[in-house]
Amino acid sequence: MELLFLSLSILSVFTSAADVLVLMDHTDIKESHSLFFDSIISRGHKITYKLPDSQGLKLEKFDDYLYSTVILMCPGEGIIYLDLNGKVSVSDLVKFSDNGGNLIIFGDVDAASHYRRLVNDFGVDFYEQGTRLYNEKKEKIVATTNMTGPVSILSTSKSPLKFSGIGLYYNQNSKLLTPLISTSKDQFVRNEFKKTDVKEPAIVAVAFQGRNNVRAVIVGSVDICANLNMKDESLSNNKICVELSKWAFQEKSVLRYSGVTHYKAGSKNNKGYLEGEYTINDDLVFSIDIEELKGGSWQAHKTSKAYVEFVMLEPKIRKYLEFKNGSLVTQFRAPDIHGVYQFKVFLNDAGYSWIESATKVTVRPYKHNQFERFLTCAYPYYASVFASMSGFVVFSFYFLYHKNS
Amino acid sequence: MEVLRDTAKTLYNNYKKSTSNRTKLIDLFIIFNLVLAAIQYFYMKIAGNFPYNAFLAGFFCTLGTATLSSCLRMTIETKKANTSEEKAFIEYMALCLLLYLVVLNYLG
Repeated sequence: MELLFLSLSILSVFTSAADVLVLMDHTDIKESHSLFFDSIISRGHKITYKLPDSQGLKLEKFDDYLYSTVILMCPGEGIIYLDLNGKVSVSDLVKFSDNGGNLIIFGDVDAASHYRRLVNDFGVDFYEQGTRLYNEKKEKIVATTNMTGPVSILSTSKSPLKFSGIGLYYNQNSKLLTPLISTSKDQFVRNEFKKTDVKEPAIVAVAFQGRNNVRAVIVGSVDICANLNMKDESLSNNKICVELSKWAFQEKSVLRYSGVTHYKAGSKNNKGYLEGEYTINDDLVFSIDIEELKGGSWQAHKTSKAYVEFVMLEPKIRKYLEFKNGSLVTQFRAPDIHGVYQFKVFLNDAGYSWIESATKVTVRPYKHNQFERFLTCAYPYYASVFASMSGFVVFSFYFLYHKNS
Repeated sequence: MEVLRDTAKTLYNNYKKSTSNRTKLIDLFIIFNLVLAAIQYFYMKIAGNFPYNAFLAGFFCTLGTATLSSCLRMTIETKKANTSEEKAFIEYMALCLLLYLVVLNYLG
């Protein structure tokens, strides 16, 4: 929660959201990937091309970041681990990502050790040095159709994806990482030094979305977005590269929440109404709006995976939210235990921004006159008291008005 | 066994002959209240004493009226108390009403 506020306050530190830095191994990349860069420029960004050891390369100026995204196409030498002279280093890039900058990292067979250290910080690693992906015919260029990434990041495509490069390991327990593309059947990994083959599918691209909703895409091949693959109409390289860059630049699948509302069921309230306190066993209604940025405007996002938890030390109630009239609503009964609770909303859909929201509310115990008055189990006692009293009335009537004998 | 049965029979016949109707009425009322008290006690044993106030109210209502009725019987039967019958009955009624007031407040 604090990290979200911190990141929101630091995102305002970016001077312009339209600046991109491309770090390349050699200046030929500017021409050999021109279609890819043109697609980025056509969406309104400005690109700065630099070599990693060029003079005056700076990511930030007086605590303001000059770029909102960095594309790394320099798997060879160039990135060092830590430098105090101001050259771009691994720790600089990690700090850039922590503070809200997006990254696209293109690796390749010649990925150097510090390049590997950079992707290690995201929970990913390239295969060992000397390994390479081969296709079924033992050629270095691989065409795969195995694109398992979610629609929120990639788009569905039936044509193959052609590239040559290296595979990736990623931390499978992490909920921040999503594998996107892997190799098809019969394609294998060959280790040139050890002369061994591994015939299992290898992951080629992984998407990362941090807890502050920064994004990074790590790809194991530089020429996946090269001109000769992008120009080919029978391949899906063009589509995939453009979609990946859109996702990484936060132009796609970005969510925000607003309009947290909760009130007692049965009372009519406007959106945004927050009831002060509830009594135990109260029926209450909770509602939140989640919107997606589509084509420049925020539209209601319909999802079935968002859930709300009613938490006091542990979630006492957890319910999935339903989409109704543009907002996500649910209704439930407050538990029997009184205390201070929080409504916590979570949406952990792969590819979409993480949504976490917390609202505090008190639940009070019954007042002294809110307990049940006449209990069914005590009816014999009520009956006997009234029987005794009516018996008394009858008895006194007889006692007074009947002759004694 | 025979002796007990004969004793009980003569006791019962004597009782029917020698007591007045009014006294028999008071005795009946006392036994009625004691039976109600017994019923409530056994119900409490089965169902537990959850609304304890309700149990106590019902129990002591019946026991209280039984006690007060037996006091009335004593005052009326023996002449040693030196009070007239009306005074005895008015005391009885006042005390019973006080008892019912307390019981009704404690019941709910």
